[in-house]
Amino acid sequence: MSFVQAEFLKFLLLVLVFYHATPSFKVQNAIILLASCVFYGWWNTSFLALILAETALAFGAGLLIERTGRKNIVLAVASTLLLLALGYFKYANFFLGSLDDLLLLLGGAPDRRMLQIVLPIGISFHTFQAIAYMVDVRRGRIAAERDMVRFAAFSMFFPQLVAGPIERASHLLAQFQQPRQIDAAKIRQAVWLIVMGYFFKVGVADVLAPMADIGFFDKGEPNSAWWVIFGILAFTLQIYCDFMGYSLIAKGVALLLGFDLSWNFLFPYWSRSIAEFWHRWHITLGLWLRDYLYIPLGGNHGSRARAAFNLYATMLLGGLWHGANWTFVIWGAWHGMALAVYHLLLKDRLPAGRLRDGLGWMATMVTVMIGWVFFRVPSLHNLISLGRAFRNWDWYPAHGATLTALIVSMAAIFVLERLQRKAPEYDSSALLPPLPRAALLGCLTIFVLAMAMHTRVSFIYFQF
Amino acid sequence: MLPLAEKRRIVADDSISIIVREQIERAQGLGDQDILLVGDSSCLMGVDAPLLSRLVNGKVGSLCTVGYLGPRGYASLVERYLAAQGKARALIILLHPVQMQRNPDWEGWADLAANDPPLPHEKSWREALYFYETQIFDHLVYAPLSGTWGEYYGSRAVLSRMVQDSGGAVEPAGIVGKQQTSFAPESGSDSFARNEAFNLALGRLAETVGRFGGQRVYLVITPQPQSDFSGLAPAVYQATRMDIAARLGIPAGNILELPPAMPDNEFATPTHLNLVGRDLYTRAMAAQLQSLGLASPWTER
Repeated sequence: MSFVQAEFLKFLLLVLVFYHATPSFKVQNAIILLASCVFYGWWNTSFLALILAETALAFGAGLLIERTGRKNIVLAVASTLLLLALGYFKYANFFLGSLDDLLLLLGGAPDRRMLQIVLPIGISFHTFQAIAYMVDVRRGRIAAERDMVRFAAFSMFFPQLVAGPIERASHLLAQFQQPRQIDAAKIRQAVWLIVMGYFFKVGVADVLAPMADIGFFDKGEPNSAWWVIFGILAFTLQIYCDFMGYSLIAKGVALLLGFDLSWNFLFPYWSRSIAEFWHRWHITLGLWLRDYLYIPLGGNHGSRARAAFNLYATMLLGGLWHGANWTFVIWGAWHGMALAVYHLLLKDRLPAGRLRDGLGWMATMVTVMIGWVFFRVPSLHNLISLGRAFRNWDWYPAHGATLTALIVSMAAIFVLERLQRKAPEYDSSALLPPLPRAALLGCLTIFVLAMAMHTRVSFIYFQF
Repeated sequence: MLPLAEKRRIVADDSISIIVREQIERAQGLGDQDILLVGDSSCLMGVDAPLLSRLVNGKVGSLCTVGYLGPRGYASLVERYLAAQGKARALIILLHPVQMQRNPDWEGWADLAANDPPLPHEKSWREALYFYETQIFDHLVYAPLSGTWGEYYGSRAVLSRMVQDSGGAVEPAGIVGKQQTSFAPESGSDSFARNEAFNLALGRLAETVGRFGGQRVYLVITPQPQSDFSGLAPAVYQATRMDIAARLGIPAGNILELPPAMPDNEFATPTHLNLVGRDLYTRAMAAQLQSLGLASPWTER
């Protein structure tokens, strides 16, 4: 099930009624688990079994790690099994294809046979969350969960099951261990987050999607340079609003159940350095990579060069996490390189001030947008086609309308984010008096519902 | 949410119906013109009405659409124009040979021109609500057109606006993507062969020509790429024009003498001129109209 399906709202209403009619938080946990199974199984019941099996594996491994003397072996075996499943579903064809390409390069005759594999939605998020839980138990940061239902409800919590945020047990599982409180302020904030999320998703990301598609469409002939530029800009906004919209809806839905999910995005396009960007973009993935990859690799201990290498390697793997394609690897490498250069050459070396902030913001946005080109192109071959477009600078009637749409979208994002930055705990709904807030919510809801009739809707990050 | 998204999602490849519907609307509100153009897409893409207007120093309104409408559909557009009290000194009918083998499947387009769309006040409240909602959101939401149409015009709204403003459209294939430089020759003299369905539709258009006043109606057979035309006997071309004019009740002297073929590199597709060809052809037409006195200073005919 997806947040943008009509069924989801009916499903949510039903869940909320049963959930809040139940006085026992333990029964509420069971309701959440059942709802999560329905939510995931709606898409594919076979893969529900996979997610349940992974959940059971992490639960069992957590208990074993705590009880056995061979903690590292248990952790290694359980993590390997989870990563093997992820590797099979997500990367098998990528490795087979790359092997074929290598054979071809060496003069061999690859058979070019690919496996018919469907990628289970959200498996990357679920796997990372499960690994984080087991590692945290091994490190002694948390106690292994002994209640299977509670653990499964945490592991498969439907608001964040398919596209994060990747939660830590210390934050989310802890909330399943006690009664949840919900009050008028939380409901107000939840509704605000949900409406904002749908606005960013349906009202901005889905409107910009076709523009990005044209900019990156490889028809085998030179495109227009303007289309490529606008396509990159459109995708820069689209992917942000798509993923951020999802994350806001997830946070709002969780809040309606009394849970607090982590912020996954905090104004990434306001960043004045690439390091700041990664503290603001897909925050829970960044923290995961830091805690479970970068620090085990050595982190910033040792020489600056060694730290830069660790950073680079972490981002490379972070790129691969996003998808089985060399373009994602290059995207990760690009960000890794940018971070390494920043830490080696720029950090703490420029005098503070508005000029540094301004130049830093521009350099960050250019770096991020170049990265999105690698992220968005279907293949490396497509990159060459995009380059050829810069021979054609003709201005078409479409370009004026596209530019207008981009400017309006940027203005909308700017205004809403500025409001959010000023608000206590980023709750911009608290800044508005009840009547204007209700009017704004009403207008936005009508706008989103109407827009939904006119745009295609699907979330980009579900594929990861 | 989004209960009807699948059902009501905008059809991406909808450029033809956008153009046709715009012209139906325009026919009812175009007002008085010095010259009124009607015809298929070779006219829509191949004649620059605003440029022609400047060259003849008069008001030129184009109701050109696509060949699917055929003569019966063009007749409906002119009828709508006349019913809305529109007056024009001259009507020019432009036909490309490719539409002379009329396919029965196209009749739906002619029906559309005759019957659709009803005016908002004639709709049920649900239809009217949807009509206005679509009107608003087509301009708010980027509804992409597919292929080269999308690359050149982008959205439905931009194409609609261009047709509203000029009554014409630019063939995007010649600008976006590959430039056509030569075409495989088609069927020589057969390219002027007409089937019964086409002749029948001419009969319907003849009634409208009669109502308009045959003396004030002119006929143009629009050009083909040189490589298509080279195997054709000039006599066939001439005979075709004469026969169509006779069936429509247009005097032989009202057949405009414009080039029957143009160089391949002035075409974007085998039937549509590119921007260069469009400009040259429009200028040639203006010169013809001036020689016939269809230019400022206007004389009553």
